[in-house]
Amino acid sequence: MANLQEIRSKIGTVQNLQKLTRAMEMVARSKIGKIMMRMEAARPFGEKVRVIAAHMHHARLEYHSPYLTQRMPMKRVGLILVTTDKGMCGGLNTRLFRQLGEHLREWSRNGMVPEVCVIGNQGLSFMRRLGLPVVAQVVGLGDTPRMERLVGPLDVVLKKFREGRIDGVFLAYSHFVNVLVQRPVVEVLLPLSGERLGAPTGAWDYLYEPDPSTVVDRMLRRYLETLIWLAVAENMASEQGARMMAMKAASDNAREAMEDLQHLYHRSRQEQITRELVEITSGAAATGGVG
Amino acid sequence: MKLFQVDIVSLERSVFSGQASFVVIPGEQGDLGILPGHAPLMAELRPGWVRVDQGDPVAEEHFYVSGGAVEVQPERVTILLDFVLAAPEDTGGEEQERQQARENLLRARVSALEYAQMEAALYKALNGLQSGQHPLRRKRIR
Repeated sequence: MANLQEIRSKIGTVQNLQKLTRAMEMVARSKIGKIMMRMEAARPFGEKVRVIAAHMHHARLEYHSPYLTQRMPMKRVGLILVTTDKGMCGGLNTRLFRQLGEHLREWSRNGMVPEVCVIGNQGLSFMRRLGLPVVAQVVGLGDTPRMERLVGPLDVVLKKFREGRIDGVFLAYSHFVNVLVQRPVVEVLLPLSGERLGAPTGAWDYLYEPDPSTVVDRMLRRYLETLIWLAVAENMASEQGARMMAMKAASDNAREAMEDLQHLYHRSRQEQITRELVEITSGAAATGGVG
Repeated sequence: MKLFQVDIVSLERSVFSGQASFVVIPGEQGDLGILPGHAPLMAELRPGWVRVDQGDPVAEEHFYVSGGAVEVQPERVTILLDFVLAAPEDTGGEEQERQQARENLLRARVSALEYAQMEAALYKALNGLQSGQHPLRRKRIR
């Protein structure tokens, strides 16, 4: 039977751990609200940009934006991988990597090596392990999706696409369904499909200033930037959601472990007392001091 | 008085939403005055002030925008603000434009359109120095 001192110190350790995981759970809970508010605030802008981009896609312009031109078959691909910076968020990143693995296997079967733009530390180390070329990276974003940090790496990928060095760009991130559920998503970002943009709003066209090609390209770029921003924001919400659940589970486990230890402690203590009593009484009996 | 809806939005927040009878928008090639019933228009903005006129001079509102785009519909004007300046789409073309502008300057013959273009380029460059700037909001005091 373990000695009492040992059990007491174990209980202390578990208690401290539980305090930590509970605190992390609370922090994640409060952060998730903030990020969701940001996403909500961005909705009018995102929706407007989408509607305009959809209209431009369907308007019969003489100008064809490279962002909208389908190039089949895809020979070289780019990948924008959005992951978290820190761990401690359950299997969030692992699930995303597993989903991504299917695509990676398919690409390597066709002899394609994706050029990867990574957002987040976890993705960066994953790509290093795989030995895939990382053309751009952003790490240490914290809890706010900062557009000024995202534009540079995005630009690297967009430039490669415009110049025809890659024929398509995929986007991988964890979609935030709700606090309990996050879904890994790997989807085609470029070329932009009509399906993604949605239905046109009517059979008219805009006047463009300065000229259609400039306005269309910038608007589509804006749309792409918004999509990346939203993916990063969703990934952050997913991260906090997953962390909240992971930490809650850890706190619950800690409570169970503590209950078990508490039991063990009481039983050991009782046993020790019993043993001592037995020793005393049997000692007394042996010396014949009865009566 | 005929009014139309004006929205000024960025990815981070909605800056203004309300009715107006007239707005002045700093377009890349010059200011655009928009009255109700304007034809659909898409324009890029240069950094500058947006004036939202609500028919009453006291209620006139001004907003500084550091760049973005405007979508005009007959009943609605939406100003989309960029909080970072998008990188130039085609550097080759811009280099050419810059060269053209330099030559024009040397000949000291600058048309109004070219002047506006150069001004836009200048503002853009200036704006690059202060990217991330939030649109300021100012109310005219009479």
